[in-house]
Amino acid sequence: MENHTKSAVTAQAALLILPSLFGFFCTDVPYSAAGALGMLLAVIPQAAAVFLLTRRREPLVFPPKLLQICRIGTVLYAADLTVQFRGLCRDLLLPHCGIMLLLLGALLLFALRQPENACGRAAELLLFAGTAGLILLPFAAFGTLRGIALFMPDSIAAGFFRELRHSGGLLLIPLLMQRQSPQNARKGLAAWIIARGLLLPLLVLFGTMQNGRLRGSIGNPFFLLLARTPLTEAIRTDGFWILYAFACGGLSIAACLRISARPHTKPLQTLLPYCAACVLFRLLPPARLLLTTAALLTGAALPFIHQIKRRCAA
Amino acid sequence: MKIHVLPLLLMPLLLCGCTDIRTRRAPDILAADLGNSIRLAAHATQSDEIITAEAKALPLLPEALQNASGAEISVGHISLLLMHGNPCAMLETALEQQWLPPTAAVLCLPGSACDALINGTAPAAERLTAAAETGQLPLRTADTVLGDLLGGSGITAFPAEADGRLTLLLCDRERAYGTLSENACRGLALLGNRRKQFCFPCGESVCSIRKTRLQIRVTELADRLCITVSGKITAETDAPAAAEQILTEMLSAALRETACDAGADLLFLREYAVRGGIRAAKTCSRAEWAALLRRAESRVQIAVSALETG
Repeated sequence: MENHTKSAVTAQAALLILPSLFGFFCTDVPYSAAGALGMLLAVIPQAAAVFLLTRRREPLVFPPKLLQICRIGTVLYAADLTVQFRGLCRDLLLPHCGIMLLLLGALLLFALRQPENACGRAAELLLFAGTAGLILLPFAAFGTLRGIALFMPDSIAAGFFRELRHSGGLLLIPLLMQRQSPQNARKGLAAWIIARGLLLPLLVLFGTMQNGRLRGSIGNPFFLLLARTPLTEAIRTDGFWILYAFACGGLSIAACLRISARPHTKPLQTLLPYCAACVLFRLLPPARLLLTTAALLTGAALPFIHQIKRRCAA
Repeated sequence: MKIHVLPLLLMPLLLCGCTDIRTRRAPDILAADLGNSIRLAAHATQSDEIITAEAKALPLLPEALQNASGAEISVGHISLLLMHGNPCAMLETALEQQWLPPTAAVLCLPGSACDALINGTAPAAERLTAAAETGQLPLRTADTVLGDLLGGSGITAFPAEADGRLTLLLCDRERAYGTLSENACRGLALLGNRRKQFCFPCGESVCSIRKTRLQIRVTELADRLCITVSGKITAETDAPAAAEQILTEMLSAALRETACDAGADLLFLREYAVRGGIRAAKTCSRAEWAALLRRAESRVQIAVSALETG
């Protein structure tokens, strides 16, 4: 039982981290020390907020209405990730963008038919592979890092808003942590905070030192970093990371839809509103910004308001 | 077979992106003469042939090559870009459109780059690498060159060939400022810290540098900036005082010819200024930073110690 609980917690933490990682691959905010500081500043209030949620000793229980709002928000977040997924296909100049989207559709249909914890397990595996790949980067870059590049003048705001936009985990927390013991919830949330507040800003700092002054001329700074850092003179790792980014994107969207679905909902019932949101976001970009921001803010505020109400009632 | 496994069978669609490798060309050297229309020549590695083409605008280069060769062009393997004319616009377009690897070597030629490639008189990429490893030139690949153009003071230095020797050509988007002296190139290579060896004649023997610990500082004097290079160098030499004088001249030439004369920031001077707490470096435009550098004073304070071989 203990093992099962432990692995369930790990899988939930992986599900929280994966969409943030995918957002990181999609961003076009240049790497700089100021950007990394901005990311950190965006994570600090979120970290403080989610840990306040887990201070009580009873399991986290949220009312059905709140969970329903989070479900709608999660579907919108999945649609937002899909638009980013399409943007990534375009940025990487892949010739068959349509086929990649067709594969994404197949993956979503497949994932929605799987047991509840399947996405979590897959997310764990992906994160493990990604971490192993990232560990190789510093070795390849050893000798070409320039510490002085950290002093490049830049704005903190870009990194701050970038990280704020990729805070979809706030919507997933109530759905994933429902009925979890506060101790387990704390562990999962700690992993999410460490990944976003420590590991990703560190990767940005590393990229800043490696990319030097060439920051914004190519869409995605992470892929510029990879092009600057071949493993050896003959081996480049771009191909692995392109496929990895697609896998992260596909699984993040699938996980969001799986988490947002009620236990006995048919896949099509989940996919139809998601497809409608995708079309809306594609045709009306301001709607995407408005709806996803509203969903994120609601997802961040409602669990709090609920906890405060409970505390007042007690 | 369960029906929900069917979507997995779509996975082979991923292979639809593959094309017959025999209909592809992967050039390793690309030459461009930049003028009203752009003349191109590319060396294809598999067939060891030169493809020539003409394009009316920079973004049309890959299509022009494709039409001329009748094959799909894979540009990810370009290791050397030869250029004639002001190369800034070309490099910016190439990196924005992602058809030039950031670590590709770039070289400006005084005459037609295409003719040099076709006639086999163009310098090889290995010559640039060797020059960087022996401390004749700093290692400046496409990303470094473009980074200085977009950041710093907006003036960059391209590796160039002039009078049969390799040097650096200072230029911005509008004009070229001229080439650097041999001493300045060696000084930049010494500060760049990417070399494997650094030897120079010193009196009647050859001095070989073993270890360098150089620091750059940018400070604010009353009315101008002061760029200081200081530190210790350990060298294999019989005459450390003479070696010190030669190295000081090299470093002084590097600072004078790049920053103080042309306003070029090739050494992360702006970042050193930010680290030194100079507020103007954080907020000023590239042109203002270039103007500040042109008024700057440079100082070199190094000590050379002889390596004890006993």
